[in-house]
Amino acid sequence: MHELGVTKTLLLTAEKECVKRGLSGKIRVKVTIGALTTYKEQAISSYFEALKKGILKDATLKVGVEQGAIQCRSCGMVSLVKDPYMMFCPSCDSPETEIIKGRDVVLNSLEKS
Amino acid sequence: MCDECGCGNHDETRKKELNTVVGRKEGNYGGQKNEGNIVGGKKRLDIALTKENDTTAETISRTLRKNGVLSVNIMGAPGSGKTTIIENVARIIGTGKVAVIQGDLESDIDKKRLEGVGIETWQINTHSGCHLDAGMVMEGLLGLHMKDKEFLFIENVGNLVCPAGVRIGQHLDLVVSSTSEGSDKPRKYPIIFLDAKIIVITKGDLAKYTDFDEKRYIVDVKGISPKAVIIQTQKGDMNGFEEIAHELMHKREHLLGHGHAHLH
Repeated sequence: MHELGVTKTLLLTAEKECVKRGLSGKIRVKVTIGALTTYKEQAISSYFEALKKGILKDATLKVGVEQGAIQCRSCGMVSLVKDPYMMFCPSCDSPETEIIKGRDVVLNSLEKS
Repeated sequence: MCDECGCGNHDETRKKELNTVVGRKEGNYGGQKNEGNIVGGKKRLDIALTKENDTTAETISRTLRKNGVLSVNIMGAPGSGKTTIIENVARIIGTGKVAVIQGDLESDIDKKRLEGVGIETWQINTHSGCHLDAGMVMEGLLGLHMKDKEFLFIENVGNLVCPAGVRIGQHLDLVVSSTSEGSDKPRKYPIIFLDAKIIVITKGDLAKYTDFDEKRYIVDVKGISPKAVIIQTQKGDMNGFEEIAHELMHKREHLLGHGHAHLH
């Protein structure tokens, strides 16, 4: 459900950037979704197809997923977050970790295809 | 020798793999949103699509911090006991020091309930919306009298998925689980617990009628949120609510640098 809002933002942002860069026609829109967000690739793609219009009417969307990662504040180790989530540092077992990747949804690029 | 496969160089391989995945060179942990970078000959935009919300959230958080108000995002399933926690904790802290932004799809039932015990409350009805956003919280703040307030409790829409990770100007997340929901919630809905600093297990008095496995719950939830403080409450016993109030006052002092005089 909440993918609707973020897809509308995506379309508005992409449209603005296309105008700024003089892009039109078949445009490839690349987006990355963090695995530690609640956004789902399929829902964003469906809303994108249903709502695209104007300068983006022939655009295609490519969605990548960025895996979550944590960094340990004690030993500096960077590790991936897998299911089931385990946020202790796998190297030194410290609970002092922070999530450094996988929490954003980002418009990466617009390319003429 | 590496623990995973016994090889001599797995650590280096793993480091390279991680650096590829996280998209950075070793030792460089800077932000990723560098608008206009040229990467591989193509112009990257890297625009965060939650930027507008996050900017509003940052403004809320900063303004409240400056005014000595700790904002708490209270999340949990419908019926888990979020409003009861607010009601009891506010009574302990002092109802005049607390303001509430109450999120529900429909109705002003909780607003009336909290106002009935003297807590200033702003009701947001999201209708079909599954979580609060920073704009809604800003609207609530503009409608509340925040002078002399020390805490803003934001009761999010009852939901264990959608509110997760949405920045609404909170200084900390408090997540509520009731024993009647079952002890498997951290395994089934881990994302809601990711940022939790306080986790409250409510309805301890009902545990004997359910198969709630407290040990299992705590092990699972600690794996997701290792530093969270876990507090239990039950009907007719104010001890757990006192503990929550103390923890929140401690967090306010720690996070905002504001002390507290005494309990109400």
